[in-house]
Amino acid sequence: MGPVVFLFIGFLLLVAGAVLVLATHRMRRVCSWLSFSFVLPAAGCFLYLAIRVFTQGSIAMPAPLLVLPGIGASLTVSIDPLSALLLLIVAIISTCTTLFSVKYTLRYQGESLLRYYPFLLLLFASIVGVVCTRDMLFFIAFWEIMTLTSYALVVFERGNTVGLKAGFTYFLVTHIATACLIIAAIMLYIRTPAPHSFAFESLSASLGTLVAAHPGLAHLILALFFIGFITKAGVLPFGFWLPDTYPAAPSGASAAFAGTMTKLGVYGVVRVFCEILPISHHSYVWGQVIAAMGALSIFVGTLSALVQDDSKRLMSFHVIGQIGYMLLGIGLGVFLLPINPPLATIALISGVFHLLNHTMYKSCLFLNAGSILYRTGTRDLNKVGGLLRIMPFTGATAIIASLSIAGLPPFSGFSSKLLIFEASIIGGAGSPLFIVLGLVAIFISAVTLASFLKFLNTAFFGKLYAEGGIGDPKDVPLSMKIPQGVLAFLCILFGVVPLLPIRMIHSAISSILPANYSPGAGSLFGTSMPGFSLDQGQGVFGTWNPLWALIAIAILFAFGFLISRAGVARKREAETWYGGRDHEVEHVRYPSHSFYIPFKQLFSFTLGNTKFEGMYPKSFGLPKLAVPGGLKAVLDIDRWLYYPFVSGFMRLSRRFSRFHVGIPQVYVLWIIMGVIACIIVLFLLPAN
Amino acid sequence: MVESIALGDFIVTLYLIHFGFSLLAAELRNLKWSVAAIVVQSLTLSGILITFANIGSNPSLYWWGFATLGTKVFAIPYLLWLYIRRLPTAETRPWLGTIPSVGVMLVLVVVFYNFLHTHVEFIAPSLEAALEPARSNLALSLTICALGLWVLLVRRDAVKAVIGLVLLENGVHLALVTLAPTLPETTLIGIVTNVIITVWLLLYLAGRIFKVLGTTDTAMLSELKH
Amino acid sequence: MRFVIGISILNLFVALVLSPLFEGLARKLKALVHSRIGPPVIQPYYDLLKLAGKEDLQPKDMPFARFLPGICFVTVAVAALFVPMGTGRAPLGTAGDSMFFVYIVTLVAVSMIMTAAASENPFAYIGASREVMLQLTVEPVMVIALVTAALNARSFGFGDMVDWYYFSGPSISMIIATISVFLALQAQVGKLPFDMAEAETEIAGGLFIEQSGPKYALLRWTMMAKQVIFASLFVQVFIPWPRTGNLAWDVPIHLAKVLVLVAIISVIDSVNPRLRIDQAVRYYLILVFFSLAGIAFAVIGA
Repeated sequence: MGPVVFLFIGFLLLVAGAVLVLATHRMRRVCSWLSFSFVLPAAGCFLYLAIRVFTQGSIAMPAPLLVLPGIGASLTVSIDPLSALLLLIVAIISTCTTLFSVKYTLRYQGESLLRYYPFLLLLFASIVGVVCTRDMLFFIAFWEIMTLTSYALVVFERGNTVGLKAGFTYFLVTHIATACLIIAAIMLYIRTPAPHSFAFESLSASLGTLVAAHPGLAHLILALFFIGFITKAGVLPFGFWLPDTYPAAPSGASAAFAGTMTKLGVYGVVRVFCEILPISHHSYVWGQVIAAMGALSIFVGTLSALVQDDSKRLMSFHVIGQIGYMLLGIGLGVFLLPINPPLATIALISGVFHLLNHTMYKSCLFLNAGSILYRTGTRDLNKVGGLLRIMPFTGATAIIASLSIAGLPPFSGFSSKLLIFEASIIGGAGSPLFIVLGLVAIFISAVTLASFLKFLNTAFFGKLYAEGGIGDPKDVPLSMKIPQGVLAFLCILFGVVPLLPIRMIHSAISSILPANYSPGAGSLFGTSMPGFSLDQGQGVFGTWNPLWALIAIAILFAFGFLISRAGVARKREAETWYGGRDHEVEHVRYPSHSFYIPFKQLFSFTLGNTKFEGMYPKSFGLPKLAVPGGLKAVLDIDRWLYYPFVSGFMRLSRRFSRFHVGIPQVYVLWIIMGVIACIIVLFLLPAN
Repeated sequence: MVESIALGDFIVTLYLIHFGFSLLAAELRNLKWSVAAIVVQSLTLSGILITFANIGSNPSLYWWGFATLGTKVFAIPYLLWLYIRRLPTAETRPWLGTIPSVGVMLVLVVVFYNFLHTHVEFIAPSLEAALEPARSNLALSLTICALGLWVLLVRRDAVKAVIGLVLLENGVHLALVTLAPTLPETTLIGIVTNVIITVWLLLYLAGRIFKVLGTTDTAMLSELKH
Repeated sequence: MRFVIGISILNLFVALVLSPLFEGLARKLKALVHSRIGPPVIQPYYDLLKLAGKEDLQPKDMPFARFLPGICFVTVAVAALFVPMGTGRAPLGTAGDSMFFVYIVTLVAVSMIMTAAASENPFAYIGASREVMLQLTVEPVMVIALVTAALNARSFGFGDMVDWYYFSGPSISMIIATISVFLALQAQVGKLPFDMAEAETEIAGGLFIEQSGPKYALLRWTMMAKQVIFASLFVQVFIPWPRTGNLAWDVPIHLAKVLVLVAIISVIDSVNPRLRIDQAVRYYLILVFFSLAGIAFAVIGA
């Protein structure tokens, strides 16, 4: 069986955990810890598999697990390095979010855990299914399961009408997207040579012939795939559901979504545009489209985040923005595939590296927002302040994750953003569009920083304030601290040793591109550990080696420490000075909505009926369709089919019930009549 | 021959008495008198059984005859008596008045008897049974059955329904003589005791219903729902 | 390797030890423009030493508050190691290129903002908010200018940019970039008309209102070092002439250029009022579009 058995073990553990919740869901603590104890070994299996694939190459089952010969679909299980990367992500995120949820779900006393843990575990299982198969039909099947489980998680809190509405929108939109995927897959499927098959390889071959023969149709199919995937990823304008949906789910689930589900959209894009689409003229066009959509997402998403006061909504907008970064990198890579393999590889790696980094810090940030919600009971940044005093650990991880997402060295976000910028600028020498997009990305990087500085300054720094009362001055429970700590540590790790993930991702990218297409990691990234120097074959054009920077920092810290000890200043604690008067806390706080007012004014405008606040519509003035009365009556199946049927049936049954008079003699009479009837029938039957 | 004729006359007399008192048991409104009629009817039933045992080939009929003496003549009427004492002796007014009721019963009986007598081949298990006196026996017993069923169905009083059941059982048992000439005695005894238990249960139920509802009118049984 | 260490020490010396001198010169010049005599040129050294001995007031139990000024200082010192000062190459240029430099400078600003936020004072918050918005709009200008240079030089390393510019001479794109960076310098060093983040009279010191004693000394020192670093960046990358190739001459030439630039900054500082933050934001956004023109020229090769 080989190492694939670990995949099955992991998968089955997740499913078993989901089922076991059915038995224990009334005992909340037991249920939570039980789920975690199933997720942990499953994650261990996936981690082991990922490491094994990275060190020893792809793993594939020789025979498919399940074959549907009539349709031509077969569940081929194969883990190539790209899948392994996502398995790694699932492993980390699943443990962190489940551990976080253990104590977090105690907040939701009125809701049954039966609707949370099974769906969470099945979400992870379905993600594993999506990434480990090379067959489109099963890919879409697992995709659908993923959508359904995530919907269930979004509508977990039944009292939250806004959330329910958001969940419904999400359901509708993602199903339309899945429909696009199905249509595109089928359009390719029917063009595969008979016997038709859904496997990636045959779809790739048919797309190749289409690209040559019917380019317009190929564009259509690619567009459908693209729309299907980026709707899930949350790229604007198709991802408009995201800012309403992610805050509605419980924080553990939001972190899981941000960490894993959106990534699958990007994974799908990579698979389709790098592997299924052969390198051709279409790569030019679509590379630019992907990058442009990415840049649009970056721009609108992050600028809208600047004006948000709800912590989880802020994070959701940043998810949109950061996904834009990934698509920028990947789009650039796809664009460069026909013309410049080294730079294309670098660009693709940059996009996927950003995917990995984003998982770590975005999940950490969602968990931070969840911790704030857990402690203070509110998501509104206007109502909290100075939480660093009572939540130092959470605050520290929030600082690390915020600096990471802003792309500041020496954290992980810097490495991936550096790659994306430099690749897009240098690659833009051939196509100026990418220079513009790269500049947009750099500008928005500053906006991201601004947004998270606002988040940190209002939530963690400043005067201690929580509108609902501070309550117990302890930080969040240990089981909630550990996941945040782990993720923050990974942010630092990938920032300080970027070459490690880069090598992993390099093997992922080179395995999905044609053989020998991309240069080795050594030639692209240099050989000095742990940093990289980018080289597309014409000399080093960019470099970042955290090692030296850290050595410098360490030396200077020692230096500064000595200096500070030299001066013998007395220390004294003092109250903050507010101009010489005593003030109430509410009067001297600097709440979240006061930040960046000039920016808000600059970027708010009104188009028609929709008010744009910070580049994002405040409410969707969706056109109200006036449905004609007749159509409404026809569509109202309740009225003309169901209700008459039901009332007629009730009348009939009432008439029948009158036969039950309650007098025993009547019943006896019925019996006798029945017997006589039987006898007559028996007599009349021909004697055989 | 003379013995058979004499026996035949005897049986005919018994039959007539049996029949007459069945009618009485069916019709009498006063439950106590109805039970008395049942006693006589059961007595004649035993007599018929013993006579048949005498002329017939089945010796176990003797056993049966004496068993019915114990059960049908003593036990069942005793049970009935027990319960009637606690319940109103007057039967709940049936839907038909006395005269129409009697009329209908008579018509029913006559028609039924004639029908059976002429078309006994349907039911007779053997050729022998188609001959006298088995033929008449069959016809009469099944008529009594029908009468008992009629009483069970038509009368409103719960106890009267039980009496009707008793009539029905008697008729059936009488028919058994012809229908199953070679029944062993254990079966017979089993059959007979079965009736006792049934009757006892039903009477107990009637008593409980009376306690709860204050009446034995079966038409009111749906009130038990509330 | 020895070269690297030597140049690192040189950079640190210039950025840390000589920067108060430049600041002193700037103050002297400002006083002269104001028709005053002004403090002695080495006054900033006295100021730092005096502050180092003063009482250190701290807000109550705020974690990390004690370390943040130190982090500011360390960050700016690290930034000094990544900028070329006279040699054409940053000492740790193989470890970080121009983009890294931009971000390390941003990190300096972020540490200062967090220092301000760690105090509870709303004045500090106003200062922090303004500083962030300023950084938000100034950084793109810097980046676009550096990107112009990178596009021309086909590389992001400072050494490559300086070499290319030295050998190929001025071009329209680079002139535009030079002008942009020059105009951005005022905000980067926090001098009028762009010092609204630490407006002394308007918001009582803004970012630094709650800092005192050694912490305040570190922050002041950071600001001085930042001035020298940015000046070095500008004069080295955008005005790389003259260059002799001999270290003993290049470094003094560089310092002279920095001095001239600091003087110019000081003069601008003396004669300008303070802008409001929205005015500053609008100003720099226009500058962003202006500098984009430089990119366009770089792309077409001019």
